Amino acid sequence: MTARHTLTLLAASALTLLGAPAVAHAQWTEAIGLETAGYLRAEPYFFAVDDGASHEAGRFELQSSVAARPADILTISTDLALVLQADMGLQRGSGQHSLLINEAWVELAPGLGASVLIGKRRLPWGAGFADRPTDLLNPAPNPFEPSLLREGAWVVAAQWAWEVWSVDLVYSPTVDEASGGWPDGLHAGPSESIFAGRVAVTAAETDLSVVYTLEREHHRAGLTAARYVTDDLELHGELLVRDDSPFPIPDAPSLLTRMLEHDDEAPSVEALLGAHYYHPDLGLDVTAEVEYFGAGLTADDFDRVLELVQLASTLGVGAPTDTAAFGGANGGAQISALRQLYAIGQVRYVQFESDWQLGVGARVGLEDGSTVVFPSIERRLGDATTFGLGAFVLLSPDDAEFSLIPLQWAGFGRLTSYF
Amino acid sequence: MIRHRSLTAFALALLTSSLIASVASAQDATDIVRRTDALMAPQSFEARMTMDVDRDDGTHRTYELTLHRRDDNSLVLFLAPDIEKGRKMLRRGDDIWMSLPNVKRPVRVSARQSLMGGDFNNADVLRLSLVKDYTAHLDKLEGSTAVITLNARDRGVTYARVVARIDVATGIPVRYDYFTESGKYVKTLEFSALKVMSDGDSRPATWNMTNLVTHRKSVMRVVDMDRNKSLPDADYTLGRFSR
Repeated sequence: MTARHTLTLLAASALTLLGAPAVAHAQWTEAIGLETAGYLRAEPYFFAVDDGASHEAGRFELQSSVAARPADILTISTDLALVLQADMGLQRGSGQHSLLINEAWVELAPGLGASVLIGKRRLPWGAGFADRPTDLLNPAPNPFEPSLLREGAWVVAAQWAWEVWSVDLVYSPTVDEASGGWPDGLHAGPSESIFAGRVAVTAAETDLSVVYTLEREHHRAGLTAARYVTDDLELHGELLVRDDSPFPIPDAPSLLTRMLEHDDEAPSVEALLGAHYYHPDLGLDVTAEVEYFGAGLTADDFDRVLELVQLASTLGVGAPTDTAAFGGANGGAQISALRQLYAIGQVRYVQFESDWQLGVGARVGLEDGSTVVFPSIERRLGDATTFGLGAFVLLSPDDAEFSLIPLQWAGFGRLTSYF
Repeated sequence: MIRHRSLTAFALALLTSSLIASVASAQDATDIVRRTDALMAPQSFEARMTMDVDRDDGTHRTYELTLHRRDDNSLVLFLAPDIEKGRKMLRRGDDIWMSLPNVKRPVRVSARQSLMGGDFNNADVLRLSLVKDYTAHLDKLEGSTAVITLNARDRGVTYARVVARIDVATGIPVRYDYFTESGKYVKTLEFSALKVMSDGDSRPATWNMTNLVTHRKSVMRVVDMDRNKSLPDADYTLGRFSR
């Protein structure tokens, strides 16, 4: 961490920590419906990679969101984060800092349930918890982030919400991001944009939605449903039918796709079925889901990919299948699904009384036993601070999918102070 | 023969008068409860509240929230403590959803679940209309206070039976005793500290909920309430809540 980084962080911290609450408590803020929130978070990371070496990393984040509603018809909201990362070890250099735009949008709601929103926003479509196949607007969730919060997309979104119905129309161009969410270039042509529509309704105590997306000249159609079947048990499901089968390894060499005879233009299906159970007396919160990717690699294709990876490793050239990329836009990691069938589970034991929260999540490849486990523990310290420890442990058999991730385990601490 | 006819007539008269009295009692009770609803949960309002939750270790936690209602829909927005800022809950009819700022996706929650680990449950705060959920029967009068038994209209209502003590003249509630379907007496809600709110109405500003099962207490304090304020209709839709 350089002196310049430290000064930047301290200045921004002081400004937000002292400035935002001061603004929030000024008398005129009530008139314009101003709301502020945010946190200061420190996260030390420890990685053990496949070559036996270990790396340490530090991540500091100052997040601040400000929303104003000067009139019923107008809302303006920003959610920014100043992030300082030091010695990320794997793919990032040391001492990087960036200002992230998590969200920045303006919404006009002229009445009769109609609204138009412009800017960057997380629009959470879909019924799944750990993953949502019908959520095609947001990038995949970061598995290092316990809440699996998605990053959001630049959109122009119109919504008409009436009683139990809502209709959404969304246009999302491709935005080049220079760093951490800052837009650099905009590609608004039909072949570089997403046009999406959704009709959602609550009927017979069930949340239902139908989704259609035209994404870079490809069509997708989806259905979602969620319903409480008892006081404490919710069932949910999603089905997405698409007119293509994207190769599961992004930017894979064409030689590889030709070798595996992968047909990108063949229709494919993605589906998720899950259950969420909450026992209020025990504070037990359990989610279990099964996810299917029709375009994923079959066992034969995966074996051939593995042979190629081993050949590339022997020849000393970069393997095309690094499925973990640390230090993404939100500073976390991405795990792309290569295979077809996965089980995802999370158990949380939430103790309001004693302020402890224990959790363990797992993602298991059902075709080869690849397993990633995320244990975590969090303690609330007073009304504004939490402290937590977590880990990311790979329990993958040799030659199984997650063995391609160049990591044995990662551990992190997380101290968060809210304001 | 004459004697037999007289007895029959007397029995019929008794039955009829008893039925009339019962209907009148139900009607009176419903009118009283309707007055309570109009005062405590008008069709449209905005209220600012705090909730103190006692904890087993002797400490307590305080939450600040705003409660908005329009017709059969309610919205709760948490303002404090800092760690809970941005948490919100929506009720539409029988359905309740919760949304956390760090997840964004609305999750369905049960009406019977405890609100923030305290002794109020979600329905106690979000489902306020007694007339819609219960049939009322006037048991007796204790001075100016009516003792009314409220029986749940269907099994979806949180409490099977409530014995309510309500001031007849004003509709101001004094105390509710809550019972489960099996008849178990589980909670008591006591109202106190009358306060004139922004809309000019006097209401109890302190609601003490005692949980007889856990032997803990939670206290809701109404800082202010205004029936002339509320959010636009669209804010009570799941579509807007999901955004």
